[in-house]
Amino acid sequence: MEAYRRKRGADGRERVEIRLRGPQLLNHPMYNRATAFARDERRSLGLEGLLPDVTSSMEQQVLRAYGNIVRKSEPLERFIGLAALQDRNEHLFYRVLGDHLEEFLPIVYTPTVGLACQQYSRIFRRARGLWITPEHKGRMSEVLTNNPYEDVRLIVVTDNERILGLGDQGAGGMGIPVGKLALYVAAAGIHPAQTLPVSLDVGTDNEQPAEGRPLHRLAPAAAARRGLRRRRRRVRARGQAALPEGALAVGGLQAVECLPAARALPQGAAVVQRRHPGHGRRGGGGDLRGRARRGPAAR
Amino acid sequence: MAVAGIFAAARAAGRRLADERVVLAGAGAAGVGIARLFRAALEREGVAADALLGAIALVDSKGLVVGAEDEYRRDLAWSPELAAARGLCTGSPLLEVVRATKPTVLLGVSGVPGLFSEEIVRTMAAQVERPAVFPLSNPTSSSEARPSDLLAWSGGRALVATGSPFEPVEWDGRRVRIGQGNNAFVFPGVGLGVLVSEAREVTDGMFAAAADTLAAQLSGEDRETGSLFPRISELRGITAKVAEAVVRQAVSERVARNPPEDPAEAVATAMWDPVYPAIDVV
Repeated sequence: MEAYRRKRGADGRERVEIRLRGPQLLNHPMYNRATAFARDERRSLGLEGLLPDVTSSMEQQVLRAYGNIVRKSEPLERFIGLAALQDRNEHLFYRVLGDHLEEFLPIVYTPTVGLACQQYSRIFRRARGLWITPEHKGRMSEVLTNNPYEDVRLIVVTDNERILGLGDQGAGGMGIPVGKLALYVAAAGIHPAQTLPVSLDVGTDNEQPAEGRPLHRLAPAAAARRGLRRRRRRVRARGQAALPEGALAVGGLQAVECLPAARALPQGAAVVQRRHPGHGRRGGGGDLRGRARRGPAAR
Repeated sequence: MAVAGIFAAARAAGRRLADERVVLAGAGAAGVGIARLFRAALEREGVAADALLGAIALVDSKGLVVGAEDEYRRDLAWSPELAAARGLCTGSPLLEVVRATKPTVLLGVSGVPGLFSEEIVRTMAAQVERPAVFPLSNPTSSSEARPSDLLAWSGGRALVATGSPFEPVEWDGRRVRIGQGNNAFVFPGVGLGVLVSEAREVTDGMFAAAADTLAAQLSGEDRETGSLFPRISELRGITAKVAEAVVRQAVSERVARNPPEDPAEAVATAMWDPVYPAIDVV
């Protein structure tokens, strides 16, 4: 896990510590700013020669990136374009999204995100989020520490089963927590490095068309799902109070929204607990701990 | 979000919230959630007993829900006596329910395209001055009705909000912007409010505060043109208001672990702006 270290300078401007250099830096969407790296920054970060010579302002980048997206006419192509931008440069992605919310909300969120979930295997470029599967049983904390950032405050979980009324989308259901979190960031200004999309992936028997082998877990779906349902009923029976509103049974998307604090995950597998030692705007140092537990999830 | 639409419709129509009667088509998870939240709002208005139960009629694919066995909606289902008193029974079809209950709000989360037929909408419009009709199902192809039809069938009197985005409708020389009852107006603000206040739980009261705040965000122009939801382009500012209300509610319900002195300022400080930060090379 990586600390994305943010702080506020004396002038009130946000500052960030960058440890990466060269190509690694350009490949990290949270740090990369491509041609917006100034010349002196390029020198000190090992980027000289790795970028076109001109430097751009963020406004110029926004114009170019926006133009790249709207040149595509199909909503799904625009989704792919925006997802690619998010994977290259998150600051720019959120600026473009925020400046054109009315136009792009129906792309990163419903209705187009539903189509993207259905076509997930076909349009897959780069993974985003954390898939938790029955194979991880007993090793949950290990898997949870693989998540990219350590100060996670907001987790959106899907069980993939009822995606926007489209049915079970298997691994492709990940599109929903990714899209929802993009909205949390764009609308509410939650920092992207404090979010984590999670899929409780028990497999699907709903075969989607894809050239080559689809990305869905297929075989053990039915049995695993029966277990999931059973556990979910148990969690429900333990009282709605334990689940946030909009959770599991209640949410239109059948997505569990794990708002801060600890929330019950239905898998019976993971209870995510955050503890923050309470330094700096509670930024920078909180940690995300996963714990494996047996039986129905409890707070 | 849907409840915010009902609040906004009551305001636009000049009705008291306690006088709203809702027929909810689609009694799945989303419908039941909306019904519960709206019922909590009615209770706060002092509505009780049979008037409370009768204020919301759940209709699913099998018709009116009466004496449901499934636990999760048993408390919302009508009693056989209540249904009989209105000339209805288990499975009464939507049209009959609309005719018998004279709803002020017809809300669809059914996923059934075209469910709100011309006959149903005309029946409703003959019974109330400003019928509020919310075909909320997504995507567009599943919408229970098209806004242009709803305005035509109601002589332009319908207060319309949809789940999917629709183009504005020209009616009688004016341009009616169709408010999109997107849950994006609610959940980011609730999440932010919970984070800022470090709330221990998310209460119905916090969602109600969010709905109330959202309904209050309509511009004068929105009200004039009969739009029930603000523009998506205003989402960030609205989210800040919603979050602030959620923080205040969390504090008043004593579930906030970190009650800020100034909720508005705390929310503003917490919101990240996508601008490149200054770099410290380490």
